[in-house]
Amino acid sequence: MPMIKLQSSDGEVFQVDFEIAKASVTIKTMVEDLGLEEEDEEIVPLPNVNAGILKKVIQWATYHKDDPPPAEDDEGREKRTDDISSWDADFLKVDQGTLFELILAANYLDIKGLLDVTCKTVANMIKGKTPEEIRKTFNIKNDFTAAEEDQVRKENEWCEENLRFISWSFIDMKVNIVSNINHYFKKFKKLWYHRINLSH
Amino acid sequence: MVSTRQQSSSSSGSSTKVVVITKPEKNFSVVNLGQSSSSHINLLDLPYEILEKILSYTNFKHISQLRSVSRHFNVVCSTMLNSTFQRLQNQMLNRFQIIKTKMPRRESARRQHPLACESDIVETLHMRLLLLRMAFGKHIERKHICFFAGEILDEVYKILHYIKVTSKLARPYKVTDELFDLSTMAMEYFREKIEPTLPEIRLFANDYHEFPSPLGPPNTRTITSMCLRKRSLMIREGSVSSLEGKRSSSESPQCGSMLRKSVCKIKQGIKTSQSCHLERDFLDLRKQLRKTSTQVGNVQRELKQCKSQMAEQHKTLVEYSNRMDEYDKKNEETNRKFSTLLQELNKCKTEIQYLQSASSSSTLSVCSSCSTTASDLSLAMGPPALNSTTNTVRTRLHSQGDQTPENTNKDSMEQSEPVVSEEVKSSDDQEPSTSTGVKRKLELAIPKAAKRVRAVAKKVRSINNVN
Repeated sequence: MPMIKLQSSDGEVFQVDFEIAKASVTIKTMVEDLGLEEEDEEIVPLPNVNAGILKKVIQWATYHKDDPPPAEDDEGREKRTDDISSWDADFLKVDQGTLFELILAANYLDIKGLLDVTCKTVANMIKGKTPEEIRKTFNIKNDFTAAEEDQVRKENEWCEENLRFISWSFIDMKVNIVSNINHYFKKFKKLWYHRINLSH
Repeated sequence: MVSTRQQSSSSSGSSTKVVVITKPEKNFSVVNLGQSSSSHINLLDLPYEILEKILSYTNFKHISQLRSVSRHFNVVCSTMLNSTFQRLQNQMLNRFQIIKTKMPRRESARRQHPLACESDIVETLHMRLLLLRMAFGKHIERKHICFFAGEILDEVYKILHYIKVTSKLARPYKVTDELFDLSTMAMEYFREKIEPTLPEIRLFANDYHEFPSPLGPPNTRTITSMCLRKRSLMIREGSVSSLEGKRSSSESPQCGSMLRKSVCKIKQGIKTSQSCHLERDFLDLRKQLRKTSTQVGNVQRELKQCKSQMAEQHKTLVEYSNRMDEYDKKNEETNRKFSTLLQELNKCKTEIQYLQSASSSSTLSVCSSCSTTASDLSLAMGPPALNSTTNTVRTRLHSQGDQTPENTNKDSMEQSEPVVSEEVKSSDDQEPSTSTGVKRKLELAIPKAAKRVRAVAKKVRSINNVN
């Protein structure tokens, strides 16, 4: 069985079965195009992946080595995020930093399956959360100015439930009426005093 | 890394080598993964493609809400929404044209066709997206807003999926019902709440120079026809831009015919809300056109006023110049009169002097009469030159009456009028020979001369008054 040596950014060398390494399209095309052979003692350097991540990637690839090639995703997007296998879910129970590094490594090594599953995991973290919750989850600073935030909020209000708007407009109307009555009452009072003063 | 490959790449082409080498470098610049520890990476450090991929697993409604997380998120989400909107438009246009070619040309035959439902749905989708584009497109192009209505995109995808999944479609309007609602809601909300706050886009400023100017009497029919033309142009513009350059010559007539059809529909005033929207757009456009035409009318009126004012001013200018000429003429006349007067006065003076000198032993009465005339003259003469002459005359008269030796001194003083003094001298010479005859003559002549002088004085006074 042909083996290939992969070197991580911090110098660690991993000897991997070529069949497993083939999951990475980057490594696969490199090997095919450059004609790396079994007896070559050459090491493939991967300067963008550190040892810990590379280990995880190899672990994932080893588990999924018998998977059928992933189907090309078509435009009729009905994308699901709940089809993550339990092994993958366990495998991806890591901290956020590692998860993002895995995504970057999968992107660099062009491993579609790993990229999909990691992205789905992140998407699940995003789904159903309010912006404030997302800011908290991912430690993002809200760098909007008040005016910008207001504009975005206003644009997003187009399809809020109509009921809420109606109730709000009713409240506005009430406030208007009350203030108007107050205004007229004051005016009337003034006039009345004026009349009394005149009569004296 | 490069050296490794060069050793092993005896057979491979150089182009592949370049590809392999450049790829890691590209990603390397984005995030330096090798050195950094895992805790530093944030969600926003991921490159745009990955963020897009992650977000594409959620729906567009959520994406449009996520815009308010942070600026970076806003940029990513807005780009996604805009590009998806654009992509869907192109997709629907292509699909509509493809399905159109499959359908029979006859309207009646079309209804029986198995693709009728799908065609209807696709047409509705296309028209709805086109309408949305009309409403927001200009502002999206100018980056005032993004396509904020993510739910509509979700709905379109849902319908597309429904078409794909369902084998036998029925009641197309039921399928597109929700889309109708959403798009109408979005457009109305945009018009009422968002558009007033956006910077104004002047539709008639630069885009439509080819139209005849609406300066003539703006009757409503021409305006509406112009509106129709304008709208059809806009539609064409939209479809052209959405074809993205791959438009072939065979596609454009179809497109044109479709547009013509839509314009016809609008003309007939079809009662579906679709055409209602177009009509509303027409009304807006018509209003705008009216506004601009009234503005142009105002400007024209102002221009006319300015022109008339200019003409008036020119007239007054001409008048003034004429008057100036008249004054010049008058001045000349008065000058001439003055000169004649001066001449006459001089004559008078010489006459008087001559006569006076002729009568060597003049009487007091003559002198007194003479003095009166002199005073008259002095009163009458304004100008100092004339005054001086009268003074000289007076002094001469008196001196001659007194026969004093000062005579010679005064003569030397008054050399400005040498003629007069010489005459006086000559008259002095003649004095002894013809005394009695001349005396008589003088007695007759002096009152005459006085009268003449008075008349001249009157004339001078009148001229002075005139001036």
